[in-house]
Amino acid sequence: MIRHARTGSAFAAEATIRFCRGAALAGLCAGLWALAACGSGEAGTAERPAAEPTQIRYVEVSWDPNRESGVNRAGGGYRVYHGTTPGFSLGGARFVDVPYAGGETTPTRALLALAPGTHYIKVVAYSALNPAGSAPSAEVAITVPAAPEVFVRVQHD
Amino acid sequence: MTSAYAAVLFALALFAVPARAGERPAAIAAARAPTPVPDELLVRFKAEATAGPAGVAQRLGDRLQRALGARYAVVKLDAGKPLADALAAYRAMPEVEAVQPNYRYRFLAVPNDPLYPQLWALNNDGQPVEGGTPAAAIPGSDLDMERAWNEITDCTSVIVAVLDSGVNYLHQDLAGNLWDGTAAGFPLHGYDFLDDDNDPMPADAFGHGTHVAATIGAVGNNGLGVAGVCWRARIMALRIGDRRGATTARIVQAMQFAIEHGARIVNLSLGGSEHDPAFEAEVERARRLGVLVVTAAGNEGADNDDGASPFFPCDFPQDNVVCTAALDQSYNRASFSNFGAVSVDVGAPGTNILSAWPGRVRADDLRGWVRTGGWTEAVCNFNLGRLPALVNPASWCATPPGAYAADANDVAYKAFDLAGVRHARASFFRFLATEPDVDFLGYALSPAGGDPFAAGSVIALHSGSAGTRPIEESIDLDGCFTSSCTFGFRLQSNATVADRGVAIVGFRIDTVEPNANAYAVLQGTSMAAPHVAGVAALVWAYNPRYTYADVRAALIEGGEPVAALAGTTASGRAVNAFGALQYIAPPAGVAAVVR
Repeated sequence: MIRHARTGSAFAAEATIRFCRGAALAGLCAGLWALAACGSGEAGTAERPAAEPTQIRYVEVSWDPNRESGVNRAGGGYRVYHGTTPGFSLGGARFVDVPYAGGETTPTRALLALAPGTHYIKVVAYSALNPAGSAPSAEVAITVPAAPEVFVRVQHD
Repeated sequence: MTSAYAAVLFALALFAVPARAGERPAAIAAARAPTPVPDELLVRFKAEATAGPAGVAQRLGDRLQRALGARYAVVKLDAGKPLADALAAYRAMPEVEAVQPNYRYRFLAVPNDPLYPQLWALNNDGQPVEGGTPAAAIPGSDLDMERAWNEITDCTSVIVAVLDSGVNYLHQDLAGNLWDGTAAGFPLHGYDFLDDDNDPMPADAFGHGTHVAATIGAVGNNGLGVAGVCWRARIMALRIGDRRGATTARIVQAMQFAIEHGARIVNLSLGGSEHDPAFEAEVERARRLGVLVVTAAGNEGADNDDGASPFFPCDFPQDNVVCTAALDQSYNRASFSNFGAVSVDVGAPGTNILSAWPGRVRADDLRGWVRTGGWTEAVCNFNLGRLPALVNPASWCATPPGAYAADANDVAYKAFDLAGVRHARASFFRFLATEPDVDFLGYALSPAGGDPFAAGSVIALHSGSAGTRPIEESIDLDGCFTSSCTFGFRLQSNATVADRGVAIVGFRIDTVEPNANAYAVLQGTSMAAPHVAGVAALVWAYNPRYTYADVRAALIEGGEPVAALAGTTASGRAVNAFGALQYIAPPAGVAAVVR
């Protein structure tokens, strides 16, 4: 058995997360952010970060809830698109889907796994009546710093 | 007209409709296309195919869901396979003759109201409108209501105030769709600011407000008459004027009433050319309190942005005003419709609009009247052509005309069945030339029938001359609601100077009837605005969290681009009910932080 132990306390969560891909990651995200879907990808597939896993940082995106009823019921939700060029086109861009998951409103937060560098983010709302969705939100830019070196102690049983 | 007390005229126009052929925009055709099922295809296999359908599907990683006859099959695609890729893959298979998406068709909500097929504004299939002006029509030029009604038909969560000439709340197509103000002390669904009482019935039988109200919310799918944009509605009837128009004071009072009693939308199918500070202040107050004001662009064919011919409330700068131009059945801007690249927001159907009317109209051809002395049934040439007229003397139409007799006491009258009506009003045009203050034209009314000048009472006397100009008369028939109400004219003269006399043209009696089943075709931007108000109510009911600004955005951004509105309205769009329901605002307040 290999056990991973954190030594870089300030960035412990990131260090831990990169070892728990897939279901474990989704579960952690759901626990942290109460999101029904926090894995990202292209057209709904699981996101595969382009950077080395050690460089991945997590960016929390939030926005105001839309007032359309269709966005806040079954079949509705948001798509959080991200790209590395300003004014990027939504077609073919990576996105995280945040569907309605019950209750009065659809969640308005998402986690993106992003490599260091500047990223541009736009949010689109959709409904069952309008699956193509709204016009995109105003674009926001976020610069992800390179992750600091993390010391990992590997203990062999 | 003064800004302090502006007589604001109802914008009712009666103009011919221009006809122009055209095509539906491709974007609209695409929007109407059925949606494909994302993971299914219909495949037609060649008769000589050696591999069976199941084998072909399996080779492509899919599975045969079911056969449709000998050679058609429904194929279920492998999870995540894009439809376009699958279409291409099947087309490339030698065993496949044809392949297409499995479209999902929707049942369309069509009301069972018998006059609904004539409501081109709601669903335009190129139909003629009985009683309307013949006009070219392009199918699909409409509000797209049937698709919208699949989502919602009930607007009762949104009170719409109709500030107009009153509403026959007993009309068969409106009773049940009115605001219930009983708890607030207004059991008759509104208020009459003209007569200052609780009853907003159109006491002068002018049907403008009833027509507007039913466009917004005639009871839909009740098997009677027409359907409104909203099949179920809560319309607040506020009578602010009559056929002569409304005043600033009454408009302001009614807006205050509407806001105080919970109206979210105010329909103002009226306007005037004078900037009116009191009116604007009330519109601004409505904005602050979240009330949307839908109004008409006006019927002069003028540019409202031209400083020389402004039109209010359309030109008020408040963003809670949605100003509406009128479109015809081909989605050309109606010839009479005002426009404005800044002030006019959207377009909506406004020609040949069939809607409710307060009661039956007894149009009379001025034949069959009981006549004495010089009264004569004639056909005279007027500017509008040859029209039947009742004249005295008989030579009134001749060139040169004659003169009425000396010492005349000539009567003409006719009986009308007005039993059971609530209000009635006779209207006609008169040409008059008599010796001033000596010879008179009189009107009289008798509920008991017979010569009304003998059995009834004289209600008006006129003398003198208005030259060749016709005077429109409107006579209240209250007190004569019997089965044999007689209305009459009398020409009295003395022995001195005689003049040309009198001609009566265009006689009609308008009524207000309980449980009325009357309908009328009108056109004007007055008719366009309530279509927008109705869609606004539908959108607001569909999205209860919306603000007035959201509703406005849905009306405009969800609208259909129309060439005739490009450059003549701010949006270049016609309101589209389905598009407005589809509309989603771009998310706001997006923020991102590194965790």
